[in-house]
Amino acid sequence: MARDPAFHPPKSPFVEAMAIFLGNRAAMAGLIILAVVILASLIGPSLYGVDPKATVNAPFLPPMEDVASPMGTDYIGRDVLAGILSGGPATIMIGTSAALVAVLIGITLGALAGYYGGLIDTILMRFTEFFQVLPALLFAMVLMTLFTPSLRVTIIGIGLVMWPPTARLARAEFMKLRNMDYVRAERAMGARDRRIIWRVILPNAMPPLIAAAALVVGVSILFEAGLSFLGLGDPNIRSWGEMIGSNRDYIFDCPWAVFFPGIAIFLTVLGVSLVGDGLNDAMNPRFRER
Amino acid sequence: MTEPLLAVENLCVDFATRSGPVRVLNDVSFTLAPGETLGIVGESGCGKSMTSLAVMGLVPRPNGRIASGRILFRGEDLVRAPARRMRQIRGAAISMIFQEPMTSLNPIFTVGRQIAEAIRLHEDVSKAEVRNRVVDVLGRVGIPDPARRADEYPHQLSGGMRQRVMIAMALVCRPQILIADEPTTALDVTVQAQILDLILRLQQEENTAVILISHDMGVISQVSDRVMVMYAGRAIEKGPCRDVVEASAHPYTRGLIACIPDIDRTERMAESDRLPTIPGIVPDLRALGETCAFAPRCALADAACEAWKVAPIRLDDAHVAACRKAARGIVA
Amino acid sequence: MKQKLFFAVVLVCSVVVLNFFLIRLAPGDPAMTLAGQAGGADAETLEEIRRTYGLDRPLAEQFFVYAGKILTGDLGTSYYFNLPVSGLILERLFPTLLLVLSSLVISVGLGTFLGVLAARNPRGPLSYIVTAVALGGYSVPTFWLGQMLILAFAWYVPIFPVDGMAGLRVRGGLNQIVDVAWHLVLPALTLGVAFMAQYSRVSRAAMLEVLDSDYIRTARAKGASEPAVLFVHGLRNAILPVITLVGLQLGQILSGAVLVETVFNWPGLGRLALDSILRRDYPTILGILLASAVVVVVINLATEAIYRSADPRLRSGGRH
Ligand SMILES: Nc1ncnc2c1ncn2[C@@H]1O[C@H](COP(=O)(O)OP(=O)(O)O)[C@@H](O)[C@H]1O
Ligand SMILES: [Mg+2]
Repeated sequence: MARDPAFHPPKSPFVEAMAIFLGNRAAMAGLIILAVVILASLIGPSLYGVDPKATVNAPFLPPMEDVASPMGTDYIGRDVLAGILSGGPATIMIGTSAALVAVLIGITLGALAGYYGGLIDTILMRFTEFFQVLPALLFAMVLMTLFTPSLRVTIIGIGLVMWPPTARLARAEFMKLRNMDYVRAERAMGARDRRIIWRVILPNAMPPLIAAAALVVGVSILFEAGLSFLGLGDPNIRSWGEMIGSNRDYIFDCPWAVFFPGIAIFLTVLGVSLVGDGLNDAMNPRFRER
Repeated sequence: MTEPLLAVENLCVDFATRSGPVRVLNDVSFTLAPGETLGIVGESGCGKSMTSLAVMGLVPRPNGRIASGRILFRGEDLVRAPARRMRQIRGAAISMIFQEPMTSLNPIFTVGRQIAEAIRLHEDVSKAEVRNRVVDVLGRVGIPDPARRADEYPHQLSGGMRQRVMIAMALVCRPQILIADEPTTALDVTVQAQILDLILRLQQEENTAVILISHDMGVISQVSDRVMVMYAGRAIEKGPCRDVVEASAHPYTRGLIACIPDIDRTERMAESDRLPTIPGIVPDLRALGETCAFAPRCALADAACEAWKVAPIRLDDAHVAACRKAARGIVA
Repeated sequence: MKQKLFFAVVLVCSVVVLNFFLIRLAPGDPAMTLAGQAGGADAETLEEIRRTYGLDRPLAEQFFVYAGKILTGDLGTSYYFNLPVSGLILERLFPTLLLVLSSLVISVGLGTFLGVLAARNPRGPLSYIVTAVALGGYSVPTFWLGQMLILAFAWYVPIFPVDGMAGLRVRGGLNQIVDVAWHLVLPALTLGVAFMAQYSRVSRAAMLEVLDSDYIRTARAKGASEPAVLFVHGLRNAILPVITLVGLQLGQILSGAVLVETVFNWPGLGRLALDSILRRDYPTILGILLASAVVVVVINLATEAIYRSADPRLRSGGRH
């Protein structure tokens, strides 16, 4: 039903979106999860002070057995809790940077396709389709082996396979907005395409793109975990996926060394997804009912 | 008077909304005799569709519910009937056709299959027999080459053809009551009369009772035996068609009648902008109390009207109006 | 449909082009990459490769040699197995297809079923459960979920086997089929869960819209029972966006299969890809990339065909 203006005085879209977001219990839960994860990543390692890469205790030590290793140790006696705490910054950093790469590629291609339409659109969309058809993990695996795995290769590799959904969304937004009156007005005043795309349309297309970007972060974190699990990440970084992968063959001997990092990934991605969904609900009013 | 086929008594329907419960039907009562045509008329949003959905037991759940009242079909109270019993009645004893023929048919099944479903839900007949009946009923509603059309999908038919299919589906089990909710509103003007004639012809062949719903007093006044006028969820005037049209007691009814153009249809199209309308807007149902909902729009309303608790006033045997001034003959 | 077929061919050709450039983009000698022995190939082998791939010719010519070889089904030789890559791939194709298709059946079937049930009462408990499970399934790492299922159902409560695709002692006939099916349960479930979660969410949303539509009201007005309304009139319409999503996500499903095959020792293409990568067996890896693109494209065409048969409006003969 239409809102009654007498009871809901018009607010600025931003304030209204903010109010909806803050009133969304699931999104708030996500925000709290994320805050805990980030806080633990920031101060956890120095507070806990155990080297995640060193053998510090007997191997296969179950959780709660020794107060020095509350989450137990893995197959070579590395502390699981130390790994979880130090894996947080690595996982989050790689996830967000890769998502940033993906979103930048996606917005650029989607904006060009949506704004210009016609042949440019056709070509760019076929290109997008191509990347969507290619099994992303296989492609990234090939990239990771052809080029020596490092932090940068990992981030670019993930970014290169994650952009198509963002491109599709950006294209749809630009197609919708390019015929708006204020865009026509700019054009009538002789503004260049560059300016119209980046200064006029993009700011208006941002809300749904921001919500989508949050979801890309979640998928990128999962993707990085998968690569590291397969042993194809940067070998010098202990990420959560790498912890699970290196203990893969000892899962029946120290299941906790697999269980806890998985929970950490799950909670982080869950937090990001909840926040992303909340942003989506707050910023896309047409989906607000239900 | 004959025993009524359908008697709706003091029907109230509530909807839960964000700003609390809303009464969309308030104390609606009417009867329907076998073979009779009852016209229900009123502006959009006054509760015509909700009345018919209530009779069908299809008030949208979980937000809507029948708060009180009885719906007696041959003495059986449908409000209290179990779901199974209602399914037996729907489509067999009481059928309904809707306003939107373009969206009322399932796009992924052939029209023949959709009519066949209506038969098989209520009767235990062989496949070949079902097929015969489908083709037969499609022919009876005036669809050319019915055997071929039965195998077509809704999107292959025009709006008028689809409404004929809807009528075929509603009548294939020979119901005692047919509810037609604005059956012609969404159609081209040229097709409107055909569909209306079709409904009336089939009604006569089977002696079906029809509840015809429209916002157009012109249509209603031409074909109804009795008329019920609704406003803001209430029946504000009802009676034999002649009485209601020629001796309207409620200012709202008179307003509706004033809106009927007495020129022929083509000219009506051309002059549609200059058609008289009742000034003002339909009130917000949430803000209504027990007083006359039409008073704010009524040219005759005075201070006493604002305070008057609405009640039906009997003008004669069958003619009732819910206007304070009707009783004193001020309007009539 | 003809146009779709054309673009399918174009897509596969694009992967050939991509592979060609990937070999040359990698640091070092392309002959070394094609030999794929982590730099350990002898001079004779390298010379042989240079000759057959025409690596001393101009780039354009090199491409035609390469593309010609692939067109005739020659994907190169795996130094590790000393076998043609095409044969290796064909051998591993069936297990992967079995895994992917059965997980699709699980995810689409179960996902839509739950979505439809949840849509009946959008504020009811089942609806919240579906939404929560969808979110959880979306956030859980597939490989980890597989490991947890192994721990739960192969270790603590040993119901299902985890020795790859088949037990060693079971041979031939119905027994073997049952055995493979038994081995398939956990991997297919693992791969299916994440997608099932998404499909239940999508079909729930689609079903909510469908249930609001006029033709559902018509079905009820006919006297149709609630299950018939949901599963005959509703489901067929609500499954359409799910089919679209499946088509878009095939690449992701195959990616997931790589992880699941690794966790469950499933002898498919994904497992072969990982092993080949660890062995620096580039011809095999690139061959798998191409083969998986073909698989995606073919299943994509199949979903397209299913969509068409599910929605008569897309078939010819329409008046509008
Ligand atoms: N799902 C709903 N929730 C709340 N109010 C509703 C709902 N459906 C209908 N209504 C209200 O019920 C009233 C009667 O509607 P309806 O019977 O469809 O009118 P009409 O006379 O045009 O057929 C309207 O005021 C409408 O706003
Ligand atoms: Mg209506």
